[in-house]
Amino acid sequence: MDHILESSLMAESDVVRARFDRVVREFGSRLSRLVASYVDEPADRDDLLQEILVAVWRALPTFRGDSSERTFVYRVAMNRARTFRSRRYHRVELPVSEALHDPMPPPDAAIAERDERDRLTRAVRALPSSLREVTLPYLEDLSTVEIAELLGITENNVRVRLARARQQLRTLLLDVS
Amino acid sequence: MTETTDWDQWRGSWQTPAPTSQDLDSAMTQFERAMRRDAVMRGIEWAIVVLAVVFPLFAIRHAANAVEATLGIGAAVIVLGIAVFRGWNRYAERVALGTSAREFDEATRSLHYAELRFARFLWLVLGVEGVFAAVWWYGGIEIHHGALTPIAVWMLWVPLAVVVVTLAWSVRLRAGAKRELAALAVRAGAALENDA
Repeated sequence: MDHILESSLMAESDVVRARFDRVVREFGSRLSRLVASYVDEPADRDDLLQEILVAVWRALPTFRGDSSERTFVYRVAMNRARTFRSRRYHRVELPVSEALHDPMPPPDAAIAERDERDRLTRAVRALPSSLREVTLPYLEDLSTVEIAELLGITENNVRVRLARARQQLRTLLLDVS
Repeated sequence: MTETTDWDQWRGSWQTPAPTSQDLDSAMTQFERAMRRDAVMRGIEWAIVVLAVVFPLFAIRHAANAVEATLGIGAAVIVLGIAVFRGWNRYAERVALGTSAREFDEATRSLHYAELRFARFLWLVLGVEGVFAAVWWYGGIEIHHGALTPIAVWMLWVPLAVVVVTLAWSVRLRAGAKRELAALAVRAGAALENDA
């Protein structure tokens, strides 16, 4: 009896582990981008990514399939990132110029693309939290319906926030140009 | 530029960088380390809980009267109560993690309010325990005429230590809960401001 129970527990933990590994492979790049848009310091990024992975590992067994796995993982990651940021930064928002100013110009075109991405990441990071929360999943191709589900707000509210986020992002990005 | 063009262009820039397998490997190594550390911490936590329950219960064998026995049982019950409370809180937080941002904030808020209530409850219990402790210590010295064996001295001190440590823990728990509630209020305020 004990043997059966033990092997069934082992099998269950193996299943969770396999599922977790697949989730990391599938969503790892999205999680990295999400982390970069919440915190700036490399050490903070490492800490947050680690906290998110631990949170996903713990939350995965509670996933009942009432949303897509992508939405679920994104929910866990965003909830953890929001808590992390408010704990670490206590609402210290970077001034726009400081957030986006890069003293080093891109040396060539190959690096320009990366520079553009970094500027966008910094601009997203400088957005107010309620706008950043809709912008991040939208940039990751989630639909407005999925974002509404992710945040627990109406689809109309998502659209309003996205419109505001777009305006602010344009201003933030143009300011530096 | 139109709204669609803006978003498409930004999506293009946003999604270009894929982390190298090295980045993910490093993240996974950190994760494995964090999980091992977590397992060790939980092991230590459970060992402390078991010891903190067993010691006061053993101490009851040396109790001179019902009052002293109550202190030992009380200390054991407090420790068990805290262990159950922490386990329940962790489970609730784990479930809340997979919910929407709004539900997560609500669940987190109610968890922190539960922590505040729990801290206040502990202070009441510890106050009563403190009264028992004074009687116990005085009674122990009187009965044994100051000639307590080292084990008996340990048995007397451990429940008292449990009470003091629990008091410190409850103060920390309350401060942490208040800090988190303040952060949640700021977040909710910012969201309202932006929705207005």
